Amino acid sequence: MAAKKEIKKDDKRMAELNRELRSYINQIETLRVNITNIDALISEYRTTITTLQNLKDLGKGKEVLLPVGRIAQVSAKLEAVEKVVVSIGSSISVELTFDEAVKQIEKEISALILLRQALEKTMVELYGKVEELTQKIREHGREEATAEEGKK
Amino acid sequence: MEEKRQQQKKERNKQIEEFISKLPEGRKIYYRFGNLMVEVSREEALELIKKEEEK
Repeated sequence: MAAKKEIKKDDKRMAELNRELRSYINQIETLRVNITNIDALISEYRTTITTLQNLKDLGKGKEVLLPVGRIAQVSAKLEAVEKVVVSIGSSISVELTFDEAVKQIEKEISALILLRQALEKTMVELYGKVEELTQKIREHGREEATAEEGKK
Repeated sequence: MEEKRQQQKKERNKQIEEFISKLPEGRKIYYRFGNLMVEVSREEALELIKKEEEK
């Protein structure tokens, strides 16, 4: 009877460890998705800066194609890129000078890089915890096997 | 978790309010309603941010 209770207790402990392990793995997955999204955003912002710079260099009067949905474009004449409307969050966009706009986008990129570093650090910590837990589970399994052997 | 998100949103909105307040006179401000970007005054923008925060 006591041995049965012991086994049940062991099963419960093993289940707890496994649950904890799954939770850490899920958190790592979520962080990985977030980091991928941040990378995409950083890349998009960098492209935006390059595009703005190119439009400015091309100058007033150039013909550009404006996308109308995904499939069609209409031509338009480019005005001087002296003012750029930039989204600053919470559905608000503001008109900025070219230099201010580039600076604002660079600031956003820096903030995203910092956030990415923080997420990466958390991910490394979680990997450490996963490693630790895996070790615990392995040891627990080994102990259980030894106990079973002893009973035989 | 939700509380933390609300706190972050408040902080972000505070930064946006400061940004708008520091903008030189005559700069256009737009608010996005779905696909539409509507030009709003500085005061309207601040009011809209407040309303958005209360949602």
